[in-house]
Amino acid sequence: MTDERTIWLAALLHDIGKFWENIPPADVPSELRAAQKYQHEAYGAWFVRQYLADWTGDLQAVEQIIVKHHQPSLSDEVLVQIADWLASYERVQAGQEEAGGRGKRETLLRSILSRVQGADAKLYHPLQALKIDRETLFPLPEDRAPLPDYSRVWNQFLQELQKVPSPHPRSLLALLFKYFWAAPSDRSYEDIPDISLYHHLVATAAIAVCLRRQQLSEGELATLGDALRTLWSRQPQTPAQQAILNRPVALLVKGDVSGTQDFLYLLTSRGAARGLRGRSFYLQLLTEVVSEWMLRRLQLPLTNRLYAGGGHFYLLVPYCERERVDELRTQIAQKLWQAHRGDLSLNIGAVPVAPVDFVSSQMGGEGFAKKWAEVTQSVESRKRQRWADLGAEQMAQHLFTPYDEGTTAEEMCQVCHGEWKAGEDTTDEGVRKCRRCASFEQLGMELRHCEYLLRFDLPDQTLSHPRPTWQEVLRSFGVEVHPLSRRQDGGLQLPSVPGNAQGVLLERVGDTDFLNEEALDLAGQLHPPVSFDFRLLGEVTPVDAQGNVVDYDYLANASQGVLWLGVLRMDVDSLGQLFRHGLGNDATLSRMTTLSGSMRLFFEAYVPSLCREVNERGREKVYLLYAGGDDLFVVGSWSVLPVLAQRIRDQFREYAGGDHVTISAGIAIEHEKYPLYRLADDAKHALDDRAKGLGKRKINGREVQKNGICFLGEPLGWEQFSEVDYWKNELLAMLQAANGEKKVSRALLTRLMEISQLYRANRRVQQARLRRGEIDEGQFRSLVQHDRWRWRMVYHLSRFAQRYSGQEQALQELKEALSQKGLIQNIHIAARWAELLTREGG
Amino acid sequence: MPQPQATPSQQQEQLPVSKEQVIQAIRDGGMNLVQTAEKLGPHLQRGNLTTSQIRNIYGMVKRMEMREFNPHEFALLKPKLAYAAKRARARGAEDLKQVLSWAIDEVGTDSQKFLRFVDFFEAILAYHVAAGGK
Repeated sequence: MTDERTIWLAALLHDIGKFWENIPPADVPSELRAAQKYQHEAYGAWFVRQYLADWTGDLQAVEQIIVKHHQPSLSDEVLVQIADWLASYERVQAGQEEAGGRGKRETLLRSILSRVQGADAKLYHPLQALKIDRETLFPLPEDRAPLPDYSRVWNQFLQELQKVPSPHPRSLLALLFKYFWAAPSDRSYEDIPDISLYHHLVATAAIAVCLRRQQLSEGELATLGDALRTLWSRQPQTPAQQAILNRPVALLVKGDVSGTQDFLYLLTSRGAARGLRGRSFYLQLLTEVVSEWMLRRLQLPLTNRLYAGGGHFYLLVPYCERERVDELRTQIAQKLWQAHRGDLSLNIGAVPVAPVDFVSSQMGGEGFAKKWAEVTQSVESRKRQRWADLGAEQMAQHLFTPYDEGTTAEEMCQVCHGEWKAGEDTTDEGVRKCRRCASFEQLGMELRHCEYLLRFDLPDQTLSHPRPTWQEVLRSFGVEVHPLSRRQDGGLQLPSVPGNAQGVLLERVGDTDFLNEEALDLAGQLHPPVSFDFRLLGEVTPVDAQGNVVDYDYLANASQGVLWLGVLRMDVDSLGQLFRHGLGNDATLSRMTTLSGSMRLFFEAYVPSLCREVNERGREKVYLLYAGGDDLFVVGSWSVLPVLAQRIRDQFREYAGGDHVTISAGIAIEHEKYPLYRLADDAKHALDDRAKGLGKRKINGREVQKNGICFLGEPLGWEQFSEVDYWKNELLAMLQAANGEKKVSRALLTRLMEISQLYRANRRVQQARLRRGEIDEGQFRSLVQHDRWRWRMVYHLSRFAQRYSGQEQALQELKEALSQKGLIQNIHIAARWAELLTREGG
Repeated sequence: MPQPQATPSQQQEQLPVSKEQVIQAIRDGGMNLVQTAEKLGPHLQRGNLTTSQIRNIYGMVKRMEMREFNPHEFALLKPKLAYAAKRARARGAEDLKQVLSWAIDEVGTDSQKFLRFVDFFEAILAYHVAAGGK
């Protein structure tokens, strides 16, 4: 039997020839043509022979598997065929309402978010290499998307592939992602082209590795193949077929970091801003590094990591490795305990996956969404017994043993309040910082202008220091990471290569041009051979005129009006529902990874550019601490946050193609001395409890829920928020009298807030009466509208109009909006907003 | 059917609300109260009512609102109104007296209705000022 790595490569490239079909190579050898069923198999094999001959020790086997994957005879070929089926059984047939592909020349990738239930618009990704800009990332309506130029993208891919100095799977995966992220995996007229070639290839490779390691016999593979055929054609199955369809072949493993909230924000303000960026990036690295450490221990390729980001990861692991997964879980718990003493933990859940789970329910299977939900439950139940993974003995030893030596105030880190020891830890501008906190600050600084990240693979190192630096923790998982910064002369400062380095990875940061001359030149100076990749970096760090990372008071001082600080948090509404039900019967492995990948591109690649728009040079206002997965966290001048939130929402709406997938926001603002952890908590509450608590309502005939923002303690649907924003601007115009008229006194805002108070108090009284059944709905509505607030409002606004005759029209419009258009419900928010924008000082 | 608009001189002659409407406003509050006051405000303004003419009475009513409702004290409003209206020598003040007298009769000894009376009075004055009343 062929080795796993060979099967993996063949599975990964089995359909690559599809891309060549538009510009068929003339020189395909006849022996390859003779073996094929369709054309793309021979092209794929020919591609491997021409371009990847030295990437595999068994070129012939790779070629054979690729060329025979549609009519296999040997068991390896059958295995890849089955993996392909399990990955591609998911394809959805186009019905009368849904557009299928448009054939090999013209098909574009349908944006997965525009495939989710309830989508109105059909959007398509233009076929092009991945770049981090709006033109590339945003899908378009079909009539505006340019016809795909397959030959151009294919030639670009080949050119870059030939630049790779030494074969490494990671470099190949990075190239496949860059060039085939927006290429449809299927272009037939019958199917909806909503899965990218990249995701199809990766899913096939991951499944193939699991099948291979399960060591299914030739007979079992044949039975599984037959079982899938009968399932597909909805014919009765034999007991043997049923058994093999339901026998687990893989484990879906989910890892989730918990404790991140406290880890990030429970810091004193001394240097917290500078350390925060480092801490946030470390969490991201930790998720990646631990998941890759697991893969290395299990000797699995990177394709078996389905997702990593936002503090969690998903792996697809062969079922036979389940005991090893348990062992690794314990080892991870021990390492993290040593590193963070319980402040951070990683909970790992796992659920078995049988072949039938890969098959979409439309095709008679179980659908992968079910597994996705199950593994999340498994993680949640593990969270309830956090640290149980340490094992009973270790728990007894560690959990109930004091570990800090007695400390006085002078022996305490002033950032994290942990231990501080003279001689080991440092003092910076009179502030005591433990070595761990100092290392996070250093990382934050290094990330400011970081263009590359260099990573060495090493044997795991033991943690010896009680307050390990971030580098030491990562080294305990077998990697050493260096952000590369530029020297004065413009060159990059390379660290010395550790003597025991087993591998080197050079990642371009925030740019997909990762095989540029500089990178190749750098790689030439390093050994062992370097692999290449790129990473999106969902962050924006504000700096002052001298280029130093600014502290919170700087951000507060950059506000308009009152000099306060704010936190904005946003995330996609009902994400779990979206994954479980959004794809209906079509939820499968690669459709789900495509969906999370699509979200990730918006948050990690595009949100930073929206934040940068807000930051003016020399007066930077926001600190995008984190954007990834489906959420984001911004600290900044309070006054720009509502504007930024609205902009992100509008762009997300366009990206998704409507209101079927929505996003909500929570903003908390306070003076800069207010502790950040409280502000972070308040914003979380604003988002999770208030904005997400917005009930069902109809907008343009569509029923929506959540889909709003909580600002100034008040949750509002986005549709209302833009109205509040409009009236805030109108009030400002009256107060500032840009039209040259007499400025209206700020007392107007106080009156409006009083009137709103009356309105809301009466509303509460009437609500109670309605609940008690004293009045009916109609009476309730009428009583709420016709009460004291109404004539008081008329009275006050008339008085203002008499006093400020130049603003009479604006005041009249305000009066009408309040009395007739429902503005009364939210006027206090507009008034408070305008009040804060026009108040001076802290 | 659209009604023909009354000319200002006709409006000065005739109250735009009936006794029944005033009674309804005190009984139900809410929409009846607001709409009745909304009609009265501009009418009284055109009848040259000024707030200074009734400031004392309005002040008394607001003070009564603060305390526990006292029907005897409240009943004394009627003669005070009559006196103020005579002194004011304005048609508007007379009309207000008329309207509030109906309202006072309707309140009687009912403290809930008294609260609606206070609102009604306040609303009439608010719409009066909104219509340009001084």
